[in-house]
Amino acid sequence: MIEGLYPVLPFIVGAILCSILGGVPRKVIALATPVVGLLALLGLPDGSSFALSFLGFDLVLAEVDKLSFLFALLFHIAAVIGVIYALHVKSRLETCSALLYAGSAIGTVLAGDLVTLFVGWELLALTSAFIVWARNDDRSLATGGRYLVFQVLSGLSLLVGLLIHHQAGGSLTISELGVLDLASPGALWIFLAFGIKAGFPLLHTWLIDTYPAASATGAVFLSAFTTKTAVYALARFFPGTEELILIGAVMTLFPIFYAVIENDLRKVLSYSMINQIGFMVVGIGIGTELAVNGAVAHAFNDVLFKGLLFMSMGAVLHVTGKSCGTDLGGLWRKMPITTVLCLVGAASISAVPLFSGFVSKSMVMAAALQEGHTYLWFLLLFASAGVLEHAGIKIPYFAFFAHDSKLEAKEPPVNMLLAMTIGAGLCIFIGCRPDVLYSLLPATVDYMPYTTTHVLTQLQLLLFASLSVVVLMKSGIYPPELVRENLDFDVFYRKGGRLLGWIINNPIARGMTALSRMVLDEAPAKLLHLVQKIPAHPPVHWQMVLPGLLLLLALLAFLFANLFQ
Amino acid sequence: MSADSHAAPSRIHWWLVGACMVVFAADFFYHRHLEPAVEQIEGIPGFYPIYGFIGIALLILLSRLLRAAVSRKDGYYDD
Repeated sequence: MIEGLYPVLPFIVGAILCSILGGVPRKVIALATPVVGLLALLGLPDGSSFALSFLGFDLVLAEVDKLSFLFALLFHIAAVIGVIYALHVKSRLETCSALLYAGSAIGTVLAGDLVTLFVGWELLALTSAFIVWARNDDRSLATGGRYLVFQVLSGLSLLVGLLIHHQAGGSLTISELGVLDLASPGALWIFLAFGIKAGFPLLHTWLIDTYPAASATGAVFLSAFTTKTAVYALARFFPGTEELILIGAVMTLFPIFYAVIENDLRKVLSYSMINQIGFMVVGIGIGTELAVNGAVAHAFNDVLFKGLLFMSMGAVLHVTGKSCGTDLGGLWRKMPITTVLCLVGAASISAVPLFSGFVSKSMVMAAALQEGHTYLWFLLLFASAGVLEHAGIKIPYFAFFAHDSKLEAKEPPVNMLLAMTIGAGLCIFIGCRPDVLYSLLPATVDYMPYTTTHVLTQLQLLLFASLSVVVLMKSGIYPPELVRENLDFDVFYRKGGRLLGWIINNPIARGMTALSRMVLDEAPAKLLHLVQKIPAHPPVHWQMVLPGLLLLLALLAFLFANLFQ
Repeated sequence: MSADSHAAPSRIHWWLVGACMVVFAADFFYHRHLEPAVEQIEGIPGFYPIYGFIGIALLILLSRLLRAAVSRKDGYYDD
């Protein structure tokens, strides 16, 4: 434990050192960075804070309570796992960006005032864009640009909301601020900012676009921080906001359909991520202690099991260069360890008893029933079965089983296996000892996940859902994997963006060119011509017309002034 | 879809069928603790198995419709 150290500082120093060093020293520094950060975090008791005076601002860099501590702890764990997983990566840019990205996320969740939160929010956007670009191929370069547009819009929205909020006399200190009401000035902008990063429906497209385009290691980092920071922010400022229940329910539902037909398994995982965030958003919207606890616990578990699944697909991508269902299959013989670790992730996300998802998702569902949201409960139960279909069965089945793709493959480097093993170990540990996670949650937990009824009903749901998948596959009804582009809402953004580009390039640019030619080239010549035509001694009628005109103008001005008094 | 997924059920499929039968039968021997809000539906023996089975079937069928609606050729955005 290190006392009195701002946990973000090691990440900044670590990133600077990694940008200078190479080879083994860089690996050592990259690995030491999140460990030192973690020790610094553990040295911060509940209620401690870091203040800083900067340009006349009194900033509260960090304010530790149970909620911010839990997320900061989670992000440190994710950073340790991610750095180990990416230890073989030679890209200096990716290593440095990843450390700064993790640091930004930690800084954002620890932030004690809205200005610090905003700075963290923007750094999160910028540093993560560099992780996307670090893959350095045509697709990631283009995608990274589109990604940054969404992230910058989120930051802008937060800034606007923050300014309106402050203008209306709202406090910028988070501890004084408490919970925001959507109707209060600026709150809607702040809500929108969080919504973009959390992947609210229609605002979610950047996630589906970006994560599959990042490198095998980059996607692991990306999957951990951005959306969960947004979940933290929603849990901090908008618990009990009823609109979130509907938004979250939609988020749990529509991705499971896309996940069935999507071929790129990392895209399936991206849809799966929106689905899981949906459960968290629903929990935050319900807003009771059990519900918010469930949402936060599920965020914790999701980072671990979704990270594990992204790591296993990243491992497949790393050794085969492919991530599509049509190209993969039968890899379990060549990658048995990766297969088992992927199955642990699949079991965890599907909420199989003894795995982590089982102890957190059910908290949100139990809270939904307690608060009388019966229809919602049925929908969430359906979405839970859907998760099993795409993340529990489809991902491992198409990658490691199905038909043998005859691809050249072997187990990934040992650092990747180690990172996945740590992730898998934590998934099982939390599944078997939920009390450890529960003790970290914001409110006291009075919930028992392991009752005979819960275990039995969950097994019934999962086993029969699996049976259904098998029956549909055997009967040929299950849609085959196809190399296709499935249009999502971003068709409007991307086609709309192109239309805007065309309008700017064609009517507007041509109009401007014509106008500038007229004003700059033709008008002076014509004016000169006119001036030359004016006689040196104007005839009498000019002298008579001019005062008349001036009189008319004065009259009009007088009339207008009176009319519009 | 691979050719061998249409093949005859293997041992693992029979294990799955067996496990399904066991958990289905459990409903008739074990009295579940029902949630008051959904007691009438949840209390039906075999509710969870039926819901899981039909839910997935519905999911897959609707996904086929979704594919018909949104699927375009690969590289749609590159043109």
